[in-house]
Amino acid sequence: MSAPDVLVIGGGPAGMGAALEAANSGLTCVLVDESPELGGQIYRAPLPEAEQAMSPHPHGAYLRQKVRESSGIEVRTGCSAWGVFEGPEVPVSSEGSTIVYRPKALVIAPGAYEFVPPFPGWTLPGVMTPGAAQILVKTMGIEPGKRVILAGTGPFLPAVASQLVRAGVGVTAVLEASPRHHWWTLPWHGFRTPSILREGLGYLATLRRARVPILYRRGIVEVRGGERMTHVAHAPLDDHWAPNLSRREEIEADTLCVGYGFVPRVHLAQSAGCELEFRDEQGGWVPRRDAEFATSVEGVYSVGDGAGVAGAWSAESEGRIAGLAIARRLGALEPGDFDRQQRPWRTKLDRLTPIRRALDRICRIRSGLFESIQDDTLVCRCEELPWKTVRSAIDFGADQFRSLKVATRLGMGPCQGRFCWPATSRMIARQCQVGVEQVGPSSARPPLRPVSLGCLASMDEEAR
Amino acid sequence: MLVDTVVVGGGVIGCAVADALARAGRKVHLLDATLPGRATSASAGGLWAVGESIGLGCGVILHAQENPDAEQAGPMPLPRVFMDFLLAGNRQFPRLGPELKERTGIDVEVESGTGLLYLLYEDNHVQHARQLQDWLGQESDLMVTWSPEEVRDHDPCLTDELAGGVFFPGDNQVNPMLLAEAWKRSAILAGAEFHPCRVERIERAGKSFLLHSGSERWESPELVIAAGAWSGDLAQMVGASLPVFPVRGQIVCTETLSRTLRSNLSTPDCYVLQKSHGEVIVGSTTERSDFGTQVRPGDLRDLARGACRAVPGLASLAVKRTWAGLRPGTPDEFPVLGPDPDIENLYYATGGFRTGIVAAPITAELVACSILGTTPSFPQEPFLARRFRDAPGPEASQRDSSSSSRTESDSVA
Amino acid sequence: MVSMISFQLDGETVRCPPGLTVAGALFRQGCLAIRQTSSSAPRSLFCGMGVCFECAMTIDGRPSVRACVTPVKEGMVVTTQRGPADLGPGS
Repeated sequence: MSAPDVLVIGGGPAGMGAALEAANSGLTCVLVDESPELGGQIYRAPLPEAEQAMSPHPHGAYLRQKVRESSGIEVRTGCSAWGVFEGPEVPVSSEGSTIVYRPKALVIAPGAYEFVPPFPGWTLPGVMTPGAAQILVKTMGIEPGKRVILAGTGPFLPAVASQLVRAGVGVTAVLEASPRHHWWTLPWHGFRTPSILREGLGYLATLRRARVPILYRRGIVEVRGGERMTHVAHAPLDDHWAPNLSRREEIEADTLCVGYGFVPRVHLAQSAGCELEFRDEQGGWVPRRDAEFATSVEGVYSVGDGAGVAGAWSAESEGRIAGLAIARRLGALEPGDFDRQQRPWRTKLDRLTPIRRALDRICRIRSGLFESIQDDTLVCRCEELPWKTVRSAIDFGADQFRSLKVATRLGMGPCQGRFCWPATSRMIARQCQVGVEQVGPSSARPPLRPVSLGCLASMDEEAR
Repeated sequence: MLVDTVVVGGGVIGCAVADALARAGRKVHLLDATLPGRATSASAGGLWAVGESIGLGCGVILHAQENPDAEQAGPMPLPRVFMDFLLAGNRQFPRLGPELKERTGIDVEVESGTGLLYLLYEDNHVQHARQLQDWLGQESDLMVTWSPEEVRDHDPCLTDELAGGVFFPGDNQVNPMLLAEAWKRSAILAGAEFHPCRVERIERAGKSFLLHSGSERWESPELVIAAGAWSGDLAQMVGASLPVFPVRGQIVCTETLSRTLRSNLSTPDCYVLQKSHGEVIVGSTTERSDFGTQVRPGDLRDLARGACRAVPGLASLAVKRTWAGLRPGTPDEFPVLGPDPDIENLYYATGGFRTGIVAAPITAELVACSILGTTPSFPQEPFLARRFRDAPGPEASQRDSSSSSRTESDSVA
Repeated sequence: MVSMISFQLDGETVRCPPGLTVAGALFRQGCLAIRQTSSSAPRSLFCGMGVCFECAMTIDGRPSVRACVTPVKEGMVVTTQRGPADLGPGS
């Protein structure tokens, strides 16, 4: 049992920001992350011995160094926090042993993962998220394939595409679901954040130089292949992203990186009992938070993309503000000092709002995205469950996660609904003609990260 | 909407009753709120007619929790009629499985030949097993006593540290969630209507019941309360008092494993069973509780320890999820089936506690017969709600300590 | 010159540079089918960050370890999982 002032779960920009501010105010802080190094997905560091990696993001390296230098922060990488129980009491396991933390305040900053809608062939080897391809090439110098297509929506696609190009990977095309003219409204909304615009234009320039076409209003309708994918079929999309199948085209490719934005990892907050609300523009279900990012549960804060997708710069600011708010709350910071110290972060956050909202509008998931799903398309990858099984359960009255789970085993596999539910809940909403928010979130059942039965059995005697 | 019968509760019991009534020609509406913690989805699906009625499964875990220093290693068996009731339910499964498959296409995974194995770790467990054999009768073929070697021969993945085992060849398992789903679909195919909604209010309108959920309303001359742990609250809406209360059970479920366990296992620490899909389920705490469905790390640890003690090789398996369900408990551990003693045309199908799944077929038959006015294959008398009239008031029974409720059932025994 | 490490993949020795995840090392070999589902369908790296469990492998006797977040180590024994997990020998 350990009782630090603050426990921070997640070592990305949000978690590091929170830990830094809390520790600067004199609080004791434990920062846990599942990866071997801090950074989260965006600032992910290569494994220590990696020799083929690209150089890590400079700001990520800066944050990592600051955290390592801070005497108030105990960093525990390679550790999984797998649930938040009453107290809050948080078991953290590593290599078969578990420490149970009972912090005075808890910061949940687990980040987000990619939204991938089902389509025929999406389980074939070679189909992966842009994030997966990015990790291969950036942290290990490994090619995901020889002929790569990226498809989906959002600024992450050209970012990954240009990283692949710079690593010498053959990128055939980038398919963006939204129309080009929507993207060209960004400079208008982003004039207060020129560095972000510059970054984006840099990606586009890299792709242009490499003659990689960006095809707007295009989406994937099918992937074909055997032991590995060989072909991608795509089609033009209408305003609702419904494909025009009569104009379907097929191209050869051995790799498809597909991602339609991100889904916040809310399961830890959910297991802490935090109230959730549905925010389509932030990736779906997110914890309800106040202005200082406190959730509905006393002493529990949630920051970064795991509390609503908004990107790395917002994430760090949210983490910083939450860290300061906790310091004030625990008496380590005077209210006046809190106001002064949080102001620069608040200003940053406000400056990011216009471009973030514009991106949210451009990249919001449209209902036509699911029109390429066939009866036998698997919607739950883990349980190999075809859409027709789920649809028939819906016909017999199942209309939410709990009832579909028991009727069909949807979401009962190892990923516990992380990948099937964001898409399936939208398909149910479409089928039943209700709002996605009425279909509800998936449930969070600990352990939220893998723990063996033996590890659970050997847990601390003092655990309640 | 005017209908013949409204069944409130879409768990295994409500679906079974709705199916029986719909197939008898009634216009049935099945109302279900799918609340977190419903016992059907939380249940492991053991069909342990003998094991549960003589106090194994969750009974022995509860006994060890509440009497850590007792010499007696398990509780006394429930009255004989209870075992006969569960056996009557269990006997229907081999026929029920194929029937439901034919009607709905759903395989409810009725398993045969696995049996239930009670692991004896210490001498007092062996002692306890002897008492159980005495109670069942030396000649009974419902139970077989095994030496440690016989247990290991039966299933080599079990621990070496055993003082013996007791095997119940007729106690097998089913998939409780698919069972409920199949009964639900069978009822719908027979004309029942299913409404996912939560009943907020029930009024009396003459002899009818008026049920409200949001803007929706149902009017029905007959009402069946099959709402599991929530049945007491629903009875209260009609002005009846029913001593049904939640008894929380926390469960640990592993990732899927290729077929490994030969039998369902009951131990003094937990039960362990492998479902046909491959997951291993380790249950279950037995806590008189509120309606919360939280799990506690300490309790999960204890279950995990129990499982690793019985089957050491399980330690390397990943835990996939844990959850808690709310069993519908009653003061005497008997279900409540059939008419309310005072309110005409109000029926109960609830209080299944830890044996609701195995009892579901016979429960549905008893309740349907009392509504249809036909004769069931098993006497209804021991399960009628009127037995609570002479007992202390529902408030008192609810707060009863377990020991006194135990005494109640012992005295019946 | 890069120092290489070696590990066992389904009984064969595989050599790769250090600093890779198991999934990375498999991709480097051109070995994409990381696991097989219960219906014998091949599955590969998908999310790459430990969320989807598509890259589950048996590593040093432990079933269902995520290859995408597990660093490859000298002498590691990696086995492809076909269908559900198995309890290792000796258990």
